[in-house]
Amino acid sequence: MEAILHNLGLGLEVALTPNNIMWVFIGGLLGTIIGMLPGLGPATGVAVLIPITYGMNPATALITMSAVYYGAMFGGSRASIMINTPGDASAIVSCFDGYPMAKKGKAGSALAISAIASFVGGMIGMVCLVFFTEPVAAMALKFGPAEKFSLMLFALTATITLSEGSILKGFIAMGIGFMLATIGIDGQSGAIRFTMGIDDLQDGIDFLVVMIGLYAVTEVFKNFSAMDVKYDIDAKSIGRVWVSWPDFKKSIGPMLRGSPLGFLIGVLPGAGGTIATFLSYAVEKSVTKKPAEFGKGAIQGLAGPEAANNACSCGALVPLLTLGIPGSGTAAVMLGALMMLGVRPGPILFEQHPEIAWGVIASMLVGNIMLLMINLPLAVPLVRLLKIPQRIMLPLILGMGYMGTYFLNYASFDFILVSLAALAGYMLVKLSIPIPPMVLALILGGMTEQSFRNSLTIANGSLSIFWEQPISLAFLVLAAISLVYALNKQKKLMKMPSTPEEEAD
Amino acid sequence: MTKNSTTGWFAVVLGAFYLFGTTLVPIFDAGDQTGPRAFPYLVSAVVILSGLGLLVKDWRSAKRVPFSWGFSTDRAIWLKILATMVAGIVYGLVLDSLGYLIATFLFMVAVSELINVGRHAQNLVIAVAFSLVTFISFALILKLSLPRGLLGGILPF
Repeated sequence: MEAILHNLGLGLEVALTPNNIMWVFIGGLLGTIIGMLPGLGPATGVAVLIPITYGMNPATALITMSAVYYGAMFGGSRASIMINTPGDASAIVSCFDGYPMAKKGKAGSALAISAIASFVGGMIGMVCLVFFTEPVAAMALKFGPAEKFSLMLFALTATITLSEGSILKGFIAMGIGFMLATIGIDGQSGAIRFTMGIDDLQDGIDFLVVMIGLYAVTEVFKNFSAMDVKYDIDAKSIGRVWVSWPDFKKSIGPMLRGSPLGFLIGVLPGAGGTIATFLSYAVEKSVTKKPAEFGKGAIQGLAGPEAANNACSCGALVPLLTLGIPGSGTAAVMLGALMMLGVRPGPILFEQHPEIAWGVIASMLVGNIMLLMINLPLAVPLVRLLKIPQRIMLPLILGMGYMGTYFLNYASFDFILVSLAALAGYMLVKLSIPIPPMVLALILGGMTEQSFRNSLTIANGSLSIFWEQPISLAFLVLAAISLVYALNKQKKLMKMPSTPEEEAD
Repeated sequence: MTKNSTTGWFAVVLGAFYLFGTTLVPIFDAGDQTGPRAFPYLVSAVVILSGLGLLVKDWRSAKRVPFSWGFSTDRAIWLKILATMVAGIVYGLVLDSLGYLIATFLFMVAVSELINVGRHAQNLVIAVAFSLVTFISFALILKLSLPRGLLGGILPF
């Protein structure tokens, strides 16, 4: 406990510098704005805002990106409540009761409780993060190549099985990610692989370029079909953005249940805010005495998932900071940006750069308070931003995406890569191939292969090393369990009557 | 073809190409004993088997909904995507020679005209504002190196 308080103190020293407080504010505000725009989520937010972290020290960069991340989580539900259009998938559940509340003239209450629940979720998530990170990092320090390989296999399997859609398509996505990761000079043997004679590919593919393509430019392509949508928002009808005492009392239980649930879901690789919010909604619906009110404007149906969503973003930082494995698409983009700044998150980060790891954790305390202050009094002006048409927002996102690509390596070849990645992303979406397993495999590809080969070298070519080490075996068992669980789930879904679109997947 | 069969064939062909590419990877005596081909072989096996699995699943499926890329029905969208890609690639090619301000202005005009069709004045304002704000933010405030190109001798800062 004493060590934790000491580390937190160190983190607060970093987080409370004027420069970092300013970036927490800027990141949180920009994240809130991007998160609330329909179709754009936290991953897009972090991807297009990567350029603002160039030139920063790694601690400030990670603090800024985290602020964008949980800022987007705060903002995600604004559009759900006001226009019944979620900012991203994790804000879908907020439509269920948030929009009916707004329809009943309680938009102010809905916006207020969504901000308060996000704050509670963020704070509880942060406290859990404080207690989780150190032991996990300490354990991870003992991992050898076999454990690392099995852990990454589990992370990838979990991402595949928890992603939406077919498991086979998830494996294809993972394979594509690995294929991209193996392009370039092999670090262990020096062999040049899959470059097709293109010199620019010898150093491999910069995965940040691919991620900007997938999360920024592809998102713009996806929105090309909905550019002329106009949202009818009457800001005057929102009323006072505050929540009454009876409504607040009803929300306490859901917030306290949703937060730890969201955090735990966030820790699992690949299980993002979408699963956390749906689970929290299901829990609230099952514990209430009036389930019939859900879907018609029950404040509990908004408070629980909102808290779960923000706690989930804290949970996603556990595998990122302690194991170097991103727990969500957004965390993957953050990992890429950090590696560009020369920092590799993982257990060593806590030993070599405790100021970065604990600075980020402590900054969440500041960030959550700031975001509550932004999202309560500024709720009405923020909601007015939803009136800005997509046809003006999309060129700006494209501009940020391409500009960010240039800053990575100052190479014109990257513009070709980012364009191709965006096109590939759009086509994969059309084929219902999930993007997260591909991104994770691309990031972890080099490390996975290295661990695999090192393990085999240690074991003189015998694969038994993967099941002879107890921790490695445990990860393999977990990977198998997640596969069996997903197969069972798919079997059940297949027995249910399906729509033609679902059948097509 | 259904969505599953399209994906299945795509995976099989991609996996086969990758497998062929793996056989061309040179093997050196130095380095680890597993070599640079083992992992790619595994990857191609996973992709090909998953593709075949999808094809079998599709073949056994009772309801088969035809899949279309929408090249004719969503022609305007595909053309916009293609034009955006071309604009992005050209932007990268001329950035150093024209300089950040001019190249970014031209890129923003191009993509805004593609997306915000017909609103020329609005697009010009967006393009000018974006190039100036980002240049000031990144080159002057964050001190990042940006090419000045044709305006190199004219810019007062």
